[in-house]
Amino acid sequence: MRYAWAAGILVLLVGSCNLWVALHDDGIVRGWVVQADGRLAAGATVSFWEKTLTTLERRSATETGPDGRFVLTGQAAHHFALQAEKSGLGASQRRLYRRYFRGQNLVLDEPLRLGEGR
Amino acid sequence: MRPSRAAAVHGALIAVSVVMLVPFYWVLKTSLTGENIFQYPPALLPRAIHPFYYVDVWYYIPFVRYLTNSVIVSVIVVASNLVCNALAAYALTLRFRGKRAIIGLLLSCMLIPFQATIIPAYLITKELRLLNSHLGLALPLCSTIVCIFVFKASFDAVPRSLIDAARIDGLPEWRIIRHVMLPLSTSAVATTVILSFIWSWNSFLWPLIVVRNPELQTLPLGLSTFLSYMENTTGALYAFCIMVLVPGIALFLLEQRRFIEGLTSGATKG
Repeated sequence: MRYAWAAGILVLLVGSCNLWVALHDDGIVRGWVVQADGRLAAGATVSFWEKTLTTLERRSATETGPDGRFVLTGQAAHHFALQAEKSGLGASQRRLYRRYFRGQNLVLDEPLRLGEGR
Repeated sequence: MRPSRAAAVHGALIAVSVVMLVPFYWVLKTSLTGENIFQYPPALLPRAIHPFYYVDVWYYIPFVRYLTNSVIVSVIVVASNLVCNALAAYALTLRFRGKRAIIGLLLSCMLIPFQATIIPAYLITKELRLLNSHLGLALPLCSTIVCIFVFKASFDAVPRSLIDAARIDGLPEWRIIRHVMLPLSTSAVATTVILSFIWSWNSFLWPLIVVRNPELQTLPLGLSTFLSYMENTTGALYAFCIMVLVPGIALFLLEQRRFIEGLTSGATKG
């Protein structure tokens, strides 16, 4: 009987998790970029780097809109880095992010700040 | 037992339990924090817990493939142990010429370490064309002497009159085992399931030798491969260890009462 219970609970947990994952795995990353003085940075290039076992590999890039915000879509990596740069304003630090599963939609807590990186 | 004595005994048992559980706690803590295990002074309580090392293990390596292979091999091992060991143990409960010699032979075989017989085992597996196969991975563990004796101890406790009655009713020997002996030996069955599962699950040396195809690697092999991939993997490595350990622990917790009964049956008489 306890095998049936254990199996049932496992099936329920795994099923719920998979359902939740299926509803939130569009691979969308949203964020915004600011200049060193805190003003929004329009037209900055944001690069998406996937963290592999040994290194970071650049996968895609997008530009921020007039409001300094950017959206990356279809990015499956669960461990990745973002870096923003704009000529004349420098680059942000390459910051690492983690997701609980591949393609999890993510909204950044903090902006990428230009002028912090090399 | 007097209360003061009982408290002392319980205190000692708790202390021993804590000592035995500390390494496991440390592995679990490191898998959730990724902190340097050589840090001094060590932090007793985990800080900044997160599950991302488990996510890394899941995605960076073919964990599901390793898990599937381990499960397939373990199922073969457990099933064949139940069948082969029950048959062998039943034979040893019967009276026949040379029985003591066979028991002595089996006991003496237990003294030979597996490492000493690994080359003949490899050659036999090769001749059977079972290298690089799940069956080949399971072959050396398909019957284990310890489990034969666990079954024998349990079968010896079944009253002879019951077996004689079954024979008079016309039951063939294999049905006596299936319908009389095994239902009365659930502890031995549970012990065999757990022991054979754990031996198969943790087996490293034999899969390392017998498998060359990466598609057939089991979890312990995957763990060693994982170690060779990266250097700074403390958290992920320990997360992998926990993920390897969980099925065995779960099985033990589900069957611990019968497992202990099975191991202690035959320890006392009367």
